[in-house]
Amino acid sequence: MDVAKAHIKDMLGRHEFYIFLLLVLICIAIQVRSGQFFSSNNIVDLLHALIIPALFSLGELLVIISGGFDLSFPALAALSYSLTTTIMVETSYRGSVVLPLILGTAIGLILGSFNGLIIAKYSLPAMIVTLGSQSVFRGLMLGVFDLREITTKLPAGMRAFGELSLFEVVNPVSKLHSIMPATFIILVVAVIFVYFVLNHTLFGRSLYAIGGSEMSALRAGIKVKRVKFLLYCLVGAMAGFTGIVHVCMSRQSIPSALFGQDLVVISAVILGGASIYGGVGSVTGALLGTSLLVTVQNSMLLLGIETFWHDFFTGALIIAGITSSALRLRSRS
Amino acid sequence: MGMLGVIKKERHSLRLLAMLIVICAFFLFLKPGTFTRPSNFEAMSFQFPEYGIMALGVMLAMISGGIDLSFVAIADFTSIIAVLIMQRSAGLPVNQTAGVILLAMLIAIVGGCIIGMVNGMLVAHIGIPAFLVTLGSMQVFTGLSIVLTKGRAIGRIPEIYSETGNSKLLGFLPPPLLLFMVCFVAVAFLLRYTSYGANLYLVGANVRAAKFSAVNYKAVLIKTHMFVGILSAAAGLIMISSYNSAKPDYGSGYLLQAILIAILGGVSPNGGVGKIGGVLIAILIAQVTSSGLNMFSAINVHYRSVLWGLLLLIMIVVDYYEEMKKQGYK
Repeated sequence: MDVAKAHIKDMLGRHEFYIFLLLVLICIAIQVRSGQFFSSNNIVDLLHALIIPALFSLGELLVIISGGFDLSFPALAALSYSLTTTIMVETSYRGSVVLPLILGTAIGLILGSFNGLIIAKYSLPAMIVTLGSQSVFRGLMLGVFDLREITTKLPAGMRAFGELSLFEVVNPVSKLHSIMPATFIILVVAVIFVYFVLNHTLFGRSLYAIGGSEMSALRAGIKVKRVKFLLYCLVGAMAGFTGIVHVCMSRQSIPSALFGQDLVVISAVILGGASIYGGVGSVTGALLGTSLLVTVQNSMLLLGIETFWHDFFTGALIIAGITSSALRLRSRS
Repeated sequence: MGMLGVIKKERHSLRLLAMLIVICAFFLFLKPGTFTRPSNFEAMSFQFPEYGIMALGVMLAMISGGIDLSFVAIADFTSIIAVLIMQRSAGLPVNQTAGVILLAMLIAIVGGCIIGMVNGMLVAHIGIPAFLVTLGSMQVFTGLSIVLTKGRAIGRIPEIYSETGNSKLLGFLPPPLLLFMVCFVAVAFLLRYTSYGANLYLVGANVRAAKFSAVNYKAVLIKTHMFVGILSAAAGLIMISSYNSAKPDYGSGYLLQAILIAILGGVSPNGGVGKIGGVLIAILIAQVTSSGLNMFSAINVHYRSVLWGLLLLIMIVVDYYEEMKKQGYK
């Protein structure tokens, strides 16, 4: 009995619980208004839309836990996939998606190591460094390499990978088909991977320690510079990989497609309870925060709200979310 | 304080000045005729006031220990409101049109001020980090701008507005430049001669110390975001005349650019540090590099992103070595 009570108390004290509650309330509200929310095809559509933002949010979560912000991942991912697809098209590549995925990840890793080198070696704030590097990446992509959109010429292997489906559902009322893409498995694997890294590896625990207090982490014998360098390499590789998945799923490579994603993904992770001062954050929270934003954005059509209102409601949700968590933190202390 | 003292104290600004001179010399060497042409300077004086004024706002927010991400959204939103009001003057006689324009400008400035005040109150009274508050309000006001315009550019602005905006007062002074100078002097005055300015540095350096020194830090934070709002609205008024319309995504490239300029100018993202002189030189560096690159038709505009990003990274790394040396490390 006491154990159960302690569990409930623990749950009520957790930020994730409130975000989950909010998500459920919003889902019910949308169901009541539209009657279509809990239909099979809508759920599948939502999960489909969740894949890319959630993959990015996992990388951003790692950075935010370590006490930094990464503003460069949209530009980093865009440069990785634009370069990769351009190389594939130029060489008339006919193979499967494996090589593009490896190449995109490798380019992401190299670009991420550039971030990591500057941030770790000079102990500079990640936000400022990635502000500078995103400008460099964007300039390299659009200026120096002059990479263009690739739509119809996208390699067949990449297209096929994006079209690969796990199952298909049909809405009995509207007869709308929705496809569950196979790329969803990538998200599941990535979630398990990041959860494992954060909770069961020295590297992950070091991230929490560094985010909590860099000085204490250093005194405790953590190699702060090395951990930070590896972090930005890992996050860069993840962003490069996600970029290729994004291209496959959208079946086109557009250099500017991800611009502005940085702030959306950061808001999602913060909504999920990660602290902007570092040291606090969880995979569950980041996923819930991202789901909340994706659900609200995708459900506006269902509710018959004109698309012009999307940004406004997203912003209102962000302000409401962060205000409520700030108030809750204050009332507790 | 002797000459050496001045050099030490203004080291960052002097380094920026050297950078500006080197960049000017570089373009002067490559394109002597084009660079010194009066039309080049004239074009520059119409271009930099827009983002220069925004950079002044970012500087204030960063000195206070926070940041403001909503300034472009405020500029777009208030300029859209102003254009919607100006459209009402269609068919009116000239003097009444002028009245409507002045009213529209006034409402834009007051609107920017109110939005900034709300930002500031959320930061000061509820204690949400400025980064998050302004991230949210950026979305909200970009969203409202899209709602008001359905995402399209809105024009039909009275001709005298853009004619005046693109003219030269007394034959040499572009109104955008005049507005920039007014904003610059006003912000410099605020920082140098008012208690707000002194308190701003104090709050930015250490909120807790400021609190215990009986500084009304909440008022300082609210005022800071109000000034950001006013400056953004002023930049928005210039945007109307240079584009001859208003649109929700005009100036979206200025978001990172203005922050970049402030940091390049020596404003510390940790708060408490920053000089308006440094920011002015950084604004000029940004303008000279982009105008300079424009002279080469073979180089496309995106090269300047690479250049600016590299300049920023180089400056912060140099500052790092400087700091290490000061602290006695080798």
